[in-house]
Amino acid sequence: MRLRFADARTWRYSMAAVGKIIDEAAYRFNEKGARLRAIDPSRIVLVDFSIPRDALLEYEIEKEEVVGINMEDLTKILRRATKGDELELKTLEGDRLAVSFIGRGTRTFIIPSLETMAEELPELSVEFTVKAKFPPSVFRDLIKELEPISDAIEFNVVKDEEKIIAKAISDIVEAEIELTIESGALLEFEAKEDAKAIYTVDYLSDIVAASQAAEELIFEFGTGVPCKIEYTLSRGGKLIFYVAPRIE
Amino acid sequence: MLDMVRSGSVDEYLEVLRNSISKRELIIIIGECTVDYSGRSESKLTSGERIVVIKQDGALLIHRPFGYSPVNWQPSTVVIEVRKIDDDRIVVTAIRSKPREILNINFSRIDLIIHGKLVDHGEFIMYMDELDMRDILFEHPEMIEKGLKIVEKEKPVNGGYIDLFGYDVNGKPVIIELKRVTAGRDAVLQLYSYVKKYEEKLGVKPRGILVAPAISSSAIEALNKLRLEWREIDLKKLWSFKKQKEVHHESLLKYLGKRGER
Repeated sequence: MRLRFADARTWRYSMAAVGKIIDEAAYRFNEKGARLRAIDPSRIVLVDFSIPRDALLEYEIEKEEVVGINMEDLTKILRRATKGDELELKTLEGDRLAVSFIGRGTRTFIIPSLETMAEELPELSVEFTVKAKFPPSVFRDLIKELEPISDAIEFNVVKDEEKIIAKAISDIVEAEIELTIESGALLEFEAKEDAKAIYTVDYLSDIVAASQAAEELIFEFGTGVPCKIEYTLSRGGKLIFYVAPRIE
Repeated sequence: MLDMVRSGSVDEYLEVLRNSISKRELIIIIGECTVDYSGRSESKLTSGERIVVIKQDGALLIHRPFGYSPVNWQPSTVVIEVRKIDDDRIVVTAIRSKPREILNINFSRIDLIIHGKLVDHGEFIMYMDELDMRDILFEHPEMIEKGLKIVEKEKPVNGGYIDLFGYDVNGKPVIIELKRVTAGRDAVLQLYSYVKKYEEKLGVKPRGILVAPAISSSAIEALNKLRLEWREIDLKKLWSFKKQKEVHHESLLKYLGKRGER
């Protein structure tokens, strides 16, 4: 397998977030494109990174290949990606993966691929009642502002008020952030009903590490159900995280 | 039972302090003082308002009104003496014998003294000790190695206990020794002795893995020579596992695979 992607930084920022949640993951390369789906050991976060074939500049594939990767190794290498670098991934003989940055010159790093017992994860079925589109930096700042206050963030929506309220409450401090379309915090907003859910801030904080990878972020949730955070990557690529809610 | 003395005369304060010290009470003095220390080094703290705590075992702490740690302290004292100088000042002298250290607290004003005996038989439980570490890894052996199955904790062997015992993905026995702090050579030798004892008893050579947040270079050298393995483990990650157990999360498994979402 050999693939070439236009902006290595998309992978850099995406994998920076994935690597914080998952230590080892399996990339599946097939005729549809490249995909990484994994669930963290505590079963609280599911990661789904997919780059369709059309999003790739070049793609050579004979048969489906599954490549297990130590995420720490990969993120360390991807950190070398700078503006203007294209990314090339190539599977080599002897279970190795070559990661190349093609920009000013070609820099190639070779890492071993791991034997993984690739988990076949079925799709998740959740009914979300709220859907909001954010500039990724707004969502990131929201998490980073509430992070020092509490270990969990509560999201509230009153359907008719057309706003999301994010709250963090500790024993002594309370913080509340109100997000509306008028204020420019939200790009789009839809709610079928009122909603309230609590998610652990540590996971959200890991996830927003990917905010530079995308132009848009779609946040979906509902009362007492997992939330879905979807980064829209260039040319149809997607980086999706599902986070299980806390039970009060 | 606690008593409090406020707006007393110098002589009243002196008497209360002498009495309390001889009874080994807990004493809290709030007032304005200077502090001189001499011992392994020397220091001088000029006048200011402070909180002095003398604990029932003779430990003494001087706190300023800010910061979490005491500015001066005496971990243990052999003698605490109180005397009056210049008619209006009270001096508390706390002496430690080994190493010899002397702390002089010279009060120009005392606002308040609280004294009495406190009872505390509570147990101090650290948020994560080696036992927590063992229990978390017992349930999450994948943090040590994929496919590892742990079958026993605290498995007795001649002259000790194996922290975790299990089998790897190929069915080979694995002996795991845990350390909560940087593991040194002694930990390696301990692991080696378990591995050898196991081999002597059962005739099968097990794998030995040392698991710790960090491993000293001399330990790594010893591990290599003895053909043992090691894993560095992030305590923060373990801690978050433990915390997750306390705060209840729903599992995503509940939502997996009922029907295609897209």
